[in-house]
Amino acid sequence: MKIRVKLMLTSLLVAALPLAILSPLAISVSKAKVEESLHHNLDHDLELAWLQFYARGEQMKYGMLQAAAERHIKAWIASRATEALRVQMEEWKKYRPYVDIWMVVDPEGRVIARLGSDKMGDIFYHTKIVERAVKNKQPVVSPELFPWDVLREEGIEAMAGEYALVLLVATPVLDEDGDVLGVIITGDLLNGDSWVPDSVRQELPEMQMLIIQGKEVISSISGEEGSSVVGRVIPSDALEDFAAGRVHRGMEIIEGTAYAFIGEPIRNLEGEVVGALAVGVREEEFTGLMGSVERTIAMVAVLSFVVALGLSYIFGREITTPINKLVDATRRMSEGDLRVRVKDTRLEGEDELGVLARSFNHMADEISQAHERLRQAYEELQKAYEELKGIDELKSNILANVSHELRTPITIAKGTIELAMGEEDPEERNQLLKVALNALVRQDFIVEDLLEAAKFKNGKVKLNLKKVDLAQLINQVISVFEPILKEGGLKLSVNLEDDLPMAKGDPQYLKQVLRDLMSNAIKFNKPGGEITVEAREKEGMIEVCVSDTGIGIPEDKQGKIFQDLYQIDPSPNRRYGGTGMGLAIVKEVVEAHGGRVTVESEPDRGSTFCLTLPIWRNKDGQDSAGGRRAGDKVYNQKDA
Amino acid sequence: MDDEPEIRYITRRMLEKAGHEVSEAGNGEECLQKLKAEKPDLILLDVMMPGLKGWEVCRKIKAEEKTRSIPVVMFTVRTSEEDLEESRKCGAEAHINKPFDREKLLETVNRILNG
Repeated sequence: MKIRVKLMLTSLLVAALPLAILSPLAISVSKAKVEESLHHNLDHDLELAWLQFYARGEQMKYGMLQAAAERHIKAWIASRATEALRVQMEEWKKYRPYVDIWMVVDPEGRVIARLGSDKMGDIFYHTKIVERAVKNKQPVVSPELFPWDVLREEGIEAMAGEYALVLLVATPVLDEDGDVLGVIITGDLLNGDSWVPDSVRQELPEMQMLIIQGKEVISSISGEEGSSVVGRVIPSDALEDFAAGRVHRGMEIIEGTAYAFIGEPIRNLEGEVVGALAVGVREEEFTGLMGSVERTIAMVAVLSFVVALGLSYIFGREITTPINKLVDATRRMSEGDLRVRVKDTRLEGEDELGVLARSFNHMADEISQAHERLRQAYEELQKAYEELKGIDELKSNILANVSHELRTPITIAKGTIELAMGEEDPEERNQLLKVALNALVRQDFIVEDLLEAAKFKNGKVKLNLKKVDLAQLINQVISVFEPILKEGGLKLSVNLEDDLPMAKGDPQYLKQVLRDLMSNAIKFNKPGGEITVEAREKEGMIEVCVSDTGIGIPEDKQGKIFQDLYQIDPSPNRRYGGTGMGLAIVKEVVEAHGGRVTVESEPDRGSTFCLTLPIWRNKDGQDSAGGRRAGDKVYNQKDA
Repeated sequence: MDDEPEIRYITRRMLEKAGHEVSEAGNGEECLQKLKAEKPDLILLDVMMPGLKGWEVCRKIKAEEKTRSIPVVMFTVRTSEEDLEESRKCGAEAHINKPFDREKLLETVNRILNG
């Protein structure tokens, strides 16, 4: 897997893990908060419901307190004027149609008058409420239960359920002295009465409200919705809570809509539980809020994920692009491209990648340099090998050349001697023997050349330095070559400076040097060519130059001609004989004298070899002139 | 043909004494030039010379219609097996090593002229 992908996956994981852990936490915390606030609202709604629940009681209480203050009412009660009271109650009911129970009792609870029937003298069912009103001389409000048959006397038809739940108000009627004359009892039957729920709903639309008695709902809002609920059986856990006087929270589905309910027991004067009051809000409000909380959190999570993805892509690229560059450079280098270097602004920092890039570049430099050194060493080796190989070939060619050079005089000597042996004319014989002798002398020269070369090579030469008259020496050497010059039709110019100083050198070796240069000038000249010998004083030395107009030396060969056994054309068919030792010896000899040999040449135009020799100094430091000027000598003869 | 005058001289002496007529050339070009005018019975060729090498001269002689039939004898100091092979390849009839003696020279020349 590529690093970039890994990085992205890693950052996604890093982003996703906290989200995965935190989101549910956030959701549950938020949910709890939302729930709490909703329940808080519900609690508040319940309070409102309670207010509405007791509102009728208060209404009845104040109405009857007013009535109890009236004189004729007091008089009627004191005189037990049943009929007058009944008429009065009918009058009251006209203005308070919601009041279902009307009666007047004496302080002991015996009925003086009731609206529902003519029955009199019986004790009111809820004696305790009468006792309390008499005792406190104050009105008492209390929700109380009645068996249905008890209410038959009050003109109330029995409904479903075991008991009727009635909000009772007992209002004492006092005389001038403050003694209790009797008690007016009014009651509002709650079963099937939707007034309380409806008035709650007016305040809080969408709200549900239930009044529970026994195991079922006895009252809810008006309309179909409410009537569908009345009579519904309450779950046992709720009933248990209510029976134990506890608040209960739960769910109820009404007409297909789920409601979250809170219910609280209804208590009577004695503190006994006589029913329960419950309010509910649509579950949707719960779940809707919860859902929106969940959606928000999920959206935040997805957004974070996308942002993490984007950021990881961008930051990943910051890391992987330089890495890829490094990888690419490494691959190219491994394929042999040593010039490759890593360049990127992101790789100039002090971080690991920057260090890696610099190390790589440094390594590449080192490798390139090492490679270059190796290559140079290889080339040098190759060159040395070629040279050695060349020398090896040279040596075998030299052997052939040397043997040719040696065998030619032998051939001549052998042939002439053989001829001489059969020659009877003494003059003719002498001539032949002379040729043989010359051949042997020539052979001797060649052998001497070879030996000298060997001696120089082995460093065995000791120069016998003397005062040398170079002009004289040059003329001596030239005279030896006269016959050959004649035969080759070569023109010789000798140009020696006047008063040429005496040289310091070994005459034997210097002679040999000049002889070698002359013989080269002749050997490599063209027929009818020119040879010039010059000598002059130059920069405190004596310079001697021998020029020819021969074949010349290619520039690339000019440095090599002073090497041992070097011949420009070493092939067996070469045009020019010689051992190839000549120029090597010349160089050794001149340098042993403290001088230098140089060559200037152009192919087909000729060559000029110059050498320098030290000037002879007397003990007083004066140089000694003494060179003899030699006249130009011209040899020009047609080939025989 | 030989670039060494002394060798030409002794070879001429030896052959003339044996009754042969001799024409000399100092190099390959001269030799080929002379062959345009003369038609010798036999050509002696030195191998190592300035200018054209003996083997090249030999090849030129053998390539020319007019001179092809003239026998060629190489004579040289080069005596190795490769050199002999080179002489055979160029079409030379015989090979004489230097230094040579008169008997060997005359024997070879006579053998070729008579055979």
